[in-house]
Amino acid sequence: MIRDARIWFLCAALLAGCGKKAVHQALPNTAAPYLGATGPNVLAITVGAGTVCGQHGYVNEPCTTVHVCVPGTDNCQEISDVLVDTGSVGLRVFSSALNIPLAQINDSGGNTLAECAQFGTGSAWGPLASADVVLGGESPVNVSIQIINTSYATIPSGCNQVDSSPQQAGYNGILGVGLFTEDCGPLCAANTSARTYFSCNGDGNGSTCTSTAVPVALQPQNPVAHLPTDNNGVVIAMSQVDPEGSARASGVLILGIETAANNLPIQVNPYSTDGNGEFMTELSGQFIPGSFIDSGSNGLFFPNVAGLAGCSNSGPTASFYCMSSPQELTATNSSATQDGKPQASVPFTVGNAESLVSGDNLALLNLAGTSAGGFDWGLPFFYGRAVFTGIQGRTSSMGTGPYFAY
Amino acid sequence: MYISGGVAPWLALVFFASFQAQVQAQAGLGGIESSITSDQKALQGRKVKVTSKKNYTVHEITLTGRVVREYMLADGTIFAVSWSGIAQPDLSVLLGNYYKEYEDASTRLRTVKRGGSHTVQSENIIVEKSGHMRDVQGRAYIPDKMPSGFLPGEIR
Repeated sequence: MIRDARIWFLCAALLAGCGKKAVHQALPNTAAPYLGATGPNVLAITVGAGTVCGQHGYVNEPCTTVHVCVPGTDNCQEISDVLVDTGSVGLRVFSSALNIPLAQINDSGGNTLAECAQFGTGSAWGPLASADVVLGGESPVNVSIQIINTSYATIPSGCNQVDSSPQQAGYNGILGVGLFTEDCGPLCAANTSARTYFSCNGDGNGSTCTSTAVPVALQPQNPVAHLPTDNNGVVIAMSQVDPEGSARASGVLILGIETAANNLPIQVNPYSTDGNGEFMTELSGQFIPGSFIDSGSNGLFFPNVAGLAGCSNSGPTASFYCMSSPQELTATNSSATQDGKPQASVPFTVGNAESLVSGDNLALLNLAGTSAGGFDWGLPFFYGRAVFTGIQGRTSSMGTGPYFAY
Repeated sequence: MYISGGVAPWLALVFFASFQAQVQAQAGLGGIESSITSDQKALQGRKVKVTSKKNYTVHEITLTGRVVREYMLADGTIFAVSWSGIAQPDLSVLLGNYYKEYEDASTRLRTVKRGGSHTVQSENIIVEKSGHMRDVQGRAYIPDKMPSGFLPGEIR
């Protein structure tokens, strides 16, 4: 009773999102059927563990372990503390975390190819290399990857805020298992001026790099798309965490959709995206285009259409929300195609970021902040859920990618 | 000797320095109308399309896979810029004289925020970025120079 009264008082005070009864029913934990999955197509995910992700990392950072090998050999290395990222495509590893010799990829003129990979907020700079990538117990796939190295040649202008080291970034690398088969795609194969790939006339300091086009086959690849059978997408399922936060969380990255007994869709609906990997979200009567599901974002980030209270501008939680009591909200996602169907409401709770991050908990369900763009459904969305990421052009009974399903 | 011998190069230096300062002051955010053309060249943009609003104009520069917009007051001041597309444009061009304070503020910023969203408030400007690989967006604006009644949400 008291709880209800408080919610209604908040509604009256904020005059937003009050049309519906703001009480959430307990959601089914759709992650549960997947969390015990075993087999060659399963990689373990941890939040709050590992020598880099655990000790130098940040809250809500899902990490796994992969192996990379010199192509065609058994000269392999385990790379731990790799961020699992549905918001990007391709494997990237810091040069300082690599101790096997991987050959760089050259363009037709004999110059080495490098990339300024741009994520939502930061970037990664370094050359492209050919590697055999081993995911779980799957057979190796020979693909182009990026070696992150700020000392490589001269970073071109416009490549700002680059990751500098595993300790600074909080990971040894990024495993991009997003909606596409390669990172930039056809646009960067057709245009020399996209300023994503660069042709460098040497490796050392002072070598210059100029923007160039790179055929899609040489661009860093989604290694999942190259697997013999589990190649149409991935399932990520994370354990549920406490509303006040949990010290750690665990989960699984399952390769393939409907390709094995452990990756069948159960109680999920597909939301197809547009060519950018985005769909529509409605919150508090406002339509927010450009929304996406991104395990590499560490909170739920959305425009403040619900009149939420922001945290202090100067502290570590600047541009997060700091509610005096948990605020329950409901958003509705709709497909970018098929006339916006299906539509389903997603209840979520916005907590007080300042108090959530003040303790030792690294898995924070109610962590949310502002965005100037679309609704970024970050890692909190994955807790207690199985989320399917269907690769563009690949099919399952849920349709042809790109789609998310949950 | 020293004085008479030093005047001409000294004057030249002053002239050159002020010329440089003027050129830099005209770029990107906080610049003036003529800087839009130089930004277009510096960013290797293809064309500029102008849209008139009530008390400002929007100048749109098209780049490969990207769009940059500059928001200009009637007096010619660029009070906001935005970008969207496969990659962010060179912010050292687009933020003009404010780039350094943005870089400094970004370096100082120690928030726990990671991934698809980022806000940096420095002495004079606010920079907000969002998105994911293949579609990144951002905007930067000078709160003190926004026209009356203007909301940052109008910067797209």
